[in-house]
Amino acid sequence: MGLGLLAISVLNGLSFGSILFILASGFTVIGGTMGIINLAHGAMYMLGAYVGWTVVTHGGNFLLAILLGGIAVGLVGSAIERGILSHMHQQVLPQLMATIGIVYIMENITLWIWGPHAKLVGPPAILATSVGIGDMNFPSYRFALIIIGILIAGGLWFLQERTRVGAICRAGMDDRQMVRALGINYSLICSCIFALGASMAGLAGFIGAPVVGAFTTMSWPMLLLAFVIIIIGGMGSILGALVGALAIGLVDAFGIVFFPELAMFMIYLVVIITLLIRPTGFLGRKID
Amino acid sequence: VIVAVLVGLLIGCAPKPAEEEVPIKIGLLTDYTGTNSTAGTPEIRGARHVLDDYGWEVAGRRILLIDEDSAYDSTITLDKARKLVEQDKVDVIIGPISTTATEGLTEYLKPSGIPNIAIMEHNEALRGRTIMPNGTDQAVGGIAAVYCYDKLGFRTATVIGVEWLFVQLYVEGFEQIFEAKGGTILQTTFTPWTLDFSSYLATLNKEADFVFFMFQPMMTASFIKQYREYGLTMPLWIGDMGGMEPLLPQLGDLGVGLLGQLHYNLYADTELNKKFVSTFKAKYGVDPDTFAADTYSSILLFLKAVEATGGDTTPAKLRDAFGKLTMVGPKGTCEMRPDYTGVPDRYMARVVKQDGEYIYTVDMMLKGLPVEELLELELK
Repeated sequence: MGLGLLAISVLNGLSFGSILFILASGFTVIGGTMGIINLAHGAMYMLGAYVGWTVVTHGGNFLLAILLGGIAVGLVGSAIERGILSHMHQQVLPQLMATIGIVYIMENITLWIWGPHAKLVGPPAILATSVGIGDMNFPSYRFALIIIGILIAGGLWFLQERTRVGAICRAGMDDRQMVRALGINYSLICSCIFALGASMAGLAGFIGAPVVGAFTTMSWPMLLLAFVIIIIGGMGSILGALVGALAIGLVDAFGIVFFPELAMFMIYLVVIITLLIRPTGFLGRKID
Repeated sequence: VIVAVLVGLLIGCAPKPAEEEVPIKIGLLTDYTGTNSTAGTPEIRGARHVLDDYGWEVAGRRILLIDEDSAYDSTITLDKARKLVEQDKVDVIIGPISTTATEGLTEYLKPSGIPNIAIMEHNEALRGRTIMPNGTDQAVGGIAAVYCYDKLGFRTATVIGVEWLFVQLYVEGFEQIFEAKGGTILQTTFTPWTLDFSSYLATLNKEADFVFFMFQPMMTASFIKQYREYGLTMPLWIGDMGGMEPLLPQLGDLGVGLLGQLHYNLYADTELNKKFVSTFKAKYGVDPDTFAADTYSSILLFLKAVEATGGDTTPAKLRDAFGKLTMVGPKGTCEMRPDYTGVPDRYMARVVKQDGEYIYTVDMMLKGLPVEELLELELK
């Protein structure tokens, strides 16, 4: 294995891992704080990609598209949480069925609005270049993805570990009743957290669009990847999501290089090993 | 006794009530949802268009069209097929486009003998069972090999595609014919359903004369985009270019130079095609794509067979007719063989930028011969 291929593989793993981290961070925050396994998270990713694509194709700039994609999905998430999921508190099966239904509804609405054809998004002009590594080019946008991932990870870690809201969330993960007993409106906190988590999916959708595009059937594959990351990193932990996402990105990249015939199974092998060694994930918290 | 005899005579001699007309029922399995949802709308439009052309009547019998969403899923396909056969009592099933789903459907239809006419090509193993006017997956890959070797002068190939049955069959046909001609396959990679091709691109053999690739339509555009972004320059041959038209403006310059083959040439300068395109566009406001033209042609084949049998839709009689027909339509000429496999026109094309628009142009038309005949074919 040449140095060029090694470098490209590491960068591929980190850049795709960054997209996965942004996606999974919202999933883990919602799951950890509220105990909701939001199966519509992948559909929210898809929606963010389509909203961002619409902004860009109507003359909006890339940053605005990311922002509006995140806000739009956050609003949709709020509506889903307030309108549906808040009525299913601690009812896991109804929550799962409801969010599965939401996936199909969102996919079909997307199909009606944007049509069946895949949408491609180019990177912003300033990042539409590439850097030569070995006998290949590496797109500059992928470098940016790694930096965006680090910034978002830092921001979310700070929010979770160093702010009062974060402290409430962490306390709620351990003992929800105690938090309520302290006079904190935990339902309101949960609603905000759900909106934030949905926004992260929307942000990831458009940030990832220049790499993977947008299409109507991407909900389930993205959700599956988010699940894998949470199993490895543990539910409720931002750091766990980061570790899980980067692990999956790198295992996938190097798995394809070294064991192409097993590429389909590599990440699931990691999942199985994780479940055998540490069923709650390497950095997971026990959820109330 | 006398009364009974008289009553019997009266009943026997009474004029029979006019036989209630039994319409011909066509079942269409299309994909309004799922990973090939790009096909659904054009397919139903193509189906209705051909029936409009016939006035929804053939051989003096009315035609009913019953469409169902098979969602590009084998289980759903079988559920919908059961509904079409057992409840709706259809005379024929058109589609679906999934090769995997069609294999299951063929087994289900075996006892009843109800014909299934493919919209797209399918596995060689279905020859003699499924009616395949577009030929087989292996033949589609094979004709690409003949053209790439003989006409484009390619001698080495890197092959990459998604690990789905129809792609594996395309690749099988391509590699068989390419190597039989003396070409060398440097690398074959099948990927899982993936969104990020970067690691596959990093390990792609870059010494080949060209890359033969085939993915599910929604993955195709991402693959081409990432291939170009990673600075790879080998010519790209896509297994099937049909349905790519809406993606070409999005790909822009990244798509220019893309090589591939088409079932249907939108720009074919024949009277039948010009009429088809103009009436279709007048009705639906868009050009027909490969899914529309393929569905139009598959139902046209059925209508021709019903005409040949004089309106008799008995499966055995229809099958007999299918094996002898030569159909001329918007896609060109399709000669059906006794094993119900067609030899259609195939168009070797490339993507160009013309007057600011990204379109494909057809370099050559070839006959989509079965694999065994492709082994003998040499283009001058």
